[in-house]
Amino acid sequence: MQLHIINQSPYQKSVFSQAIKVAAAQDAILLVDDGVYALTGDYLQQIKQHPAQWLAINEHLALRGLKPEPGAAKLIDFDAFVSLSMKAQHCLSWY
Amino acid sequence: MNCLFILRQSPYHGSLAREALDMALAFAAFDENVQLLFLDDGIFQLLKDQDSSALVIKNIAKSLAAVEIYDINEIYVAEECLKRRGLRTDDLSIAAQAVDTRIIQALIADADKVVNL
Repeated sequence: MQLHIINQSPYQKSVFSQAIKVAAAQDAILLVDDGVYALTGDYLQQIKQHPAQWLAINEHLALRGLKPEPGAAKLIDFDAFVSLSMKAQHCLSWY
Repeated sequence: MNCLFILRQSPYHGSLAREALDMALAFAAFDENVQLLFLDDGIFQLLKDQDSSALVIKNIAKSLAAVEIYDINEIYVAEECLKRRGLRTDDLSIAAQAVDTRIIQALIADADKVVNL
C-alpha cells in the first residue's frame, strides 16, 4: 500500500489529477490542507469513481467549513495520519 | 474612488487571502468605495461554519463578517466558479451577488483602481 498525500486545491493546481492517475486500487489517498477542496464539485465525482481508499484530515475540513457527503472519504485525525504513514510502503507527497 | 478587489486565494493557503482582505478593509477605513469580487478559490473564503478551534489559525470568516461595519456593500461572487465547486450563494457566510463574466468585465472596466490578489 502506498500513501499518496495531496495538499493543494484541485481548482488551482493539477496535482490532484496527476496523482489519481498514478494511485493504484490498493493505495490510500490522503487529502490535507487545501487538498480537502477536492471533496467538492466535479472532483467529488472523480473521488467516488476512483477505487483507492480516500481519506481526509478532519481538522482541515472543519477549518474550511466543508462538510463532505458521508462515505466520500474517511475522516481521520493527525494520530491516524502518523499510523497510516507507518503502515504504507512509501509516502508520496504530490506538489 | 472606486476600488475593486479581486480575491482569488483560498483562505488558509499562506497569508495572501488574509492580507488582501486586510488591505480592502484599510481602503474602506479611508472612505474609499470598496467592491469585493470573489473569484476562483477565493470563493472558499466565504463558506459558512469555518471552525478554527482545533488548529492555531485565525478564522477568516470573522474578518469577513466585519465588511459591513466598514460599509462595504458591494460583494460579488463569480457564478461560474460557484457552480463548478457545487456551491450556491446560500452556502456563503455573507450576502453576495452572483455575477457572470460580462458583469465581471464591466466591474473591472468601471473601477478606478483594481487590486488582483
